[in-house]
This record gives sequence, C-alpha cells and structure tokens, in this order.
Amino acid sequence: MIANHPFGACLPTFGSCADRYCLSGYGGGGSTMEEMLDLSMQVPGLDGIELVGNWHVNDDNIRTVNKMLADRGKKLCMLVPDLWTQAKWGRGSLAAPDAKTRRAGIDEVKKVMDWAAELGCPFVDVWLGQDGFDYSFQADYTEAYKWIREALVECAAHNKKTRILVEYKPREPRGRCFIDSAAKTLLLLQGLDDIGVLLDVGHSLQGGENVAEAAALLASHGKLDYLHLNDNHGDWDDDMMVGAIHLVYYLELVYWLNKVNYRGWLTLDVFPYREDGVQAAIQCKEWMEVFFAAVDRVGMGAINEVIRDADATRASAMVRQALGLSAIKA
Amino acid sequence: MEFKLATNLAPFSRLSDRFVPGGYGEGYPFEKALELVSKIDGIDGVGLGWPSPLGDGSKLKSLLDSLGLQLGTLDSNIYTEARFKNGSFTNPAPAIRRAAIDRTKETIDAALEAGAPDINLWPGHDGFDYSFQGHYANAWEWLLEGLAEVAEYDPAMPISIEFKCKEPRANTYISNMGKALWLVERINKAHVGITLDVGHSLAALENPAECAALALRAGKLQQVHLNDNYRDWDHDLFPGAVNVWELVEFFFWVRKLGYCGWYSLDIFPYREDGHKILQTAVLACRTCWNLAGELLERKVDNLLAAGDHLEAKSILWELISNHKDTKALSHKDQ
Repeated sequence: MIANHPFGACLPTFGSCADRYCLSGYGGGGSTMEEMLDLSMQVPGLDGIELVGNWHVNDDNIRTVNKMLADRGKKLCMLVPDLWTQAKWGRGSLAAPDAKTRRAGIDEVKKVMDWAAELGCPFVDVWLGQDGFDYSFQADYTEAYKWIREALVECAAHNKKTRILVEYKPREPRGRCFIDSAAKTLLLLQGLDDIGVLLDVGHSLQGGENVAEAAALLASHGKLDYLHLNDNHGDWDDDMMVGAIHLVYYLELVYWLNKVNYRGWLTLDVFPYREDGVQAAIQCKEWMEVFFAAVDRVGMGAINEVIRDADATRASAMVRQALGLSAIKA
Repeated sequence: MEFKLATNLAPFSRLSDRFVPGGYGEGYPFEKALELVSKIDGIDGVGLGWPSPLGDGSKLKSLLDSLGLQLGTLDSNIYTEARFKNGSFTNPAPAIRRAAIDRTKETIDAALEAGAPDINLWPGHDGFDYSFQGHYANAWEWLLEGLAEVAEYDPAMPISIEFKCKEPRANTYISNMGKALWLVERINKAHVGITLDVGHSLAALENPAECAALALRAGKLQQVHLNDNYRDWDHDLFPGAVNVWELVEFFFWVRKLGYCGWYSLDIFPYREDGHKILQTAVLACRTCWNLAGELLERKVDNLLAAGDHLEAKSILWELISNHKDTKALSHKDQ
C-alpha cells in the first residue's frame, strides 16, 4: 500500500528493457514470468501486478497465471490488450485504415476483457499507441475518431464485469497519436459512462499538461480510474523513476488525489534500462510515501486556503514546508 | 556543384522500437539490401556500420564496386551492445572505454581498406538520465582523451563526430553544434570534423542552416545526415516531411559556403515501403537542393547581407509559385 492506496507495478519493471538501438536488451531482471514475479516479491508493500494479454496471459496458461499470482499474494490490477507489439498493428489498431485490422483490434480487446473477468481483474487498459500518424496527409482524422469511439462502445457492451480504461499519450511509437491529452480523451468518451480513463503521469507531462490539473479534470467527469506513475524531462516518455524531475508537480498531484477522494491503484510504469528494477520500484514507492506525508504535514485545510486565495508566494513557502525544507538555511 | 546522396540500410532492414521488438517488417539480408539500394535512381552511395557482416573492408569494397555503389562513410558501432549502455568513450569502467577506442581504431582500419572517405562516430550512450548520475568533468576529460587517441591513430582517415541531444540517453553529452565545435576545436586535428545530422539539429531546437554555416566557417563540417522530425524527437522521417523551408535554407548555406562532402539519408521508415520512401526522399532532397541553387543564382545572399530578408522571401515564393506576378495577385485579392 501507499498511503491507503493499492500499489502495483507493470511486470516488465522486473525484466530487461530494449530500445531501437539495443535490440537484445540492456540486461538485468528476470527472463521468465516467474522470475519477474519472484523479483517483484522483493518490493515491500507491492499489492498488484499489471500484465499484458498474449505476453503473459493466454487461453492455455490462464489457470497457471492465477496460481502464480495467488501463490505470491499478488492481485492482477490490470490486464492490457496488446494492440502495439506486433507488426500487424504498425499502421494502427482500432483506427487502422484497414477494416480487418480494426476488427482484429476489437476482438483482441474483447478476448482480454474475458480473460480479465476470469482472473478477477476489474480493468483493461486500452492504449492506442499505434493509432496516430507520422506525416501530414497520412490520416483521416474524422474517420479515426469515429472508428475509435465505435470500437470502444462495442467492446464496453461485451463484458460488463470489466471496465475499459483509455490511456492517452501524445506520441511514440507514432510521431503523433490521436488520443493525446486528458481533454481529448474526455471528448472521445462523452456520454459513455461505462468507460474510464487511465492517467499516466509521464504521458501527461510529455504532453505539456500540469498532471494535477489533468487529474482534477478527469475526476470532475467521473473518469479518474487508475494511475500510472513515472517521470520524465517533460518532452518525452522517458519512463524514469518517480520523483526524478517533477517533485512539485507530484506534490500537487497528490493533494488533488486526496481532494477528489481518489482511492484507486497507484501503479508503476517505469523502464529501468540501466537500473535494478527492484531498487527502482522501491525508490518510486519511497517518493510516493513522502509526497503523501508531505501533504499531510501541511494539511489539506491549509492548502485549500492558499489555493482559495490564489496566493503563489504562500504556495511557494508551503511547498518548502511540505517537503521539510523550511528548516534548511544557507 | 555535385549533390552526392547516400543512404543507410534502414529502408531495407528489419526496424524495431521499444514497443515492437520483433520488427515492423521483415527486412532483407545485408547483401540483398545493398542490391536494392543500388537500384534506386538518385542514390550514389551507402553509409554502413562496422563491424560488417562481410567481416573485411576489402570484401566490402569489392561488393560495393560490383553494385556500382560508393561507400559514403563507415560508422564505428559503439551503441548496439548492452556493454556500452553506461557509455562508450565516457564509460566509468576503463575496460569499456578501451573497447570503444579499439572498436573505433578497427573501424579506421576497415575504412581504409574499404575506401571510405571518413568514419562516423556517434557516442549515443554517453550522457545521463538522472541528476546526480553523471560525472561531467570526468566524462568530458575521457571524451577528449579517447578522441585524441583515435585521432592520432591514422590521420589518413578523417573522423566525423555526430552530435544528438537525446536518445538512447535522456541527455547526451555532445548534444548540440556548439558543444561539438568546442570539442573538435580542442582536439585540433585537421582530419577531425563534425557530422551535422539535420534531424538532430532540429530536435535540439537549432536552425540546421546556422549550424552548417558555423561549422563550415571553422572548416569542420565533415559529413551531413538528412532526415526530419517535429523538433521534439529524432523521428527520422524523410527530409522535407515537416520542415521544408529549414531544409531549403540549409542547402542554401552549405552550397554557398562550399561544402563538398556526402549527404546521407538517415531515415527510419518503420511503416513505409523502402523503395518508395527512398524515391520520395530523393525527390524532396533534389527539389530543395535545386531551389537553393536558384536562390543563389538570384543573389539572395546579397539581400541577406543588406538586411532585406523580405525581398528574399518574395523571391522564394515567386520561385515556388511559378507566378511572376505573385505580389500583384495577392494585392488584387485584398
């Protein structure tokens, strides 16, 4: 747990990460699912694991997966349909120009919804990473929005036991992705109460959002369902450890999570290419504990007052106080 | 002035990223990929990496000769193996720094055998992701030492150092033209210059034309890589996909200041047909190159010297609109 929130991690946190230069991976971590799960046991307070359909779960191993998780006391907090790692999704999944590929994307989401229901997992995360464009005059934007919405509506009706969450990201692997911001995701999902939003902190920062405002916006529409935690330099999804760069943003985010009474998962989505995955996860958790404690130190009431008065100078002093820096003098 | 255009083999290779490790397409074996490149009209050469699947510089030369291709550069591969993940020339481990130096010397030997005009050197893993991670002072000292050693190895083979602001590291040490120029000026060898990758320059929020002028004035522009992006990442799109005017201005300045080296396409067409994208890239590059030539013929440089950039712009629009009376037309529309 992190301050009474269930704490999860994507399984690849405990594996070897690759990129376009180092295709065989940077090394470290476990190779099999069991090795990665065993490594996850070394992170204190880790309640759940996020898995990807077909990578980790399939029709043949579904009972084994259930047992692997249960034996280690881990919940399955999220099951993600894989709509991006195979070449067939290279030009898009739910918004692919080719109708057969769109149909295959819908089937993939439905199949993973059923697996999730069977495994007692409440959510599937639809991340449309390949749905977007690289070049001008490459995409039909209006058709794409329509296809995505229709597909999501069809999937949501398929299995009421699992809730679909849409995860937005501004770019990568496409030069530009269609579903790229909190507001556009809300626009896409207008009137669709069965479908929620997954807020990935790094994606929000990469898109130039203030992630605290994004959380408040989503919550005010009843769509703040799940969080991915990581950090970056503000221009790319570097998937670094929590607290690497955006300390003040994280502090404000945690205040808003309290304020909107968010009680859902806090799940790590980090890519520790050059770090030990277990140690990276522990550092992320430590930072989150500190942010929650820091908000408590000042108190929600005091923060409410500063915001009510819109007083940036008091806010500045309050951040120092919250982070325990007030006592440090030059 | 000759426009010598080369390409990397990416258009005919299996390309992966961190989300599609198995590759977006099948790609071709090395020799077949070279053969396919040799058939593209308007491509004169290839930029290749070392070590090569052929294992021998002279064999590489024979193969390229038989295909009628020239070798545009040979690139010292110090970035696709996990052992270089914490840096090559600036790795904290002396054995890895030595491995990077050895690899580069081997590349120089192979480049001499293969008849390459230079070697390319991109220290992509030399940088940092986190604050309090890099020892900046040591890193720059090791860079200078390591590069000095490879520069002394065989002055007959030019060395071209390529800068890039990020990826695969979140921050790279040699991140922009200013730092690259400082570095090669400190090394101070006539045969050590700079690779200006237009996309890297755009991603670093530079103007590639200004960077080219700066490097050419110092006599340090050794090599040019062509590609394009949205100035937020090294997307490796085909040249002119986004920043058309920047490309024309770039060609204008390299032509004006007399660059006579290779232009190498460094594109990553994950989702495109290799043959078609190379044809598109050739057309885009040659059109912008020709447009730059026309601007030089019209003495646009004199207008810039006189501070009359608006007259320069009107010539630009006139050349691309094919209307001799563009100004009159736009006036009438008002």
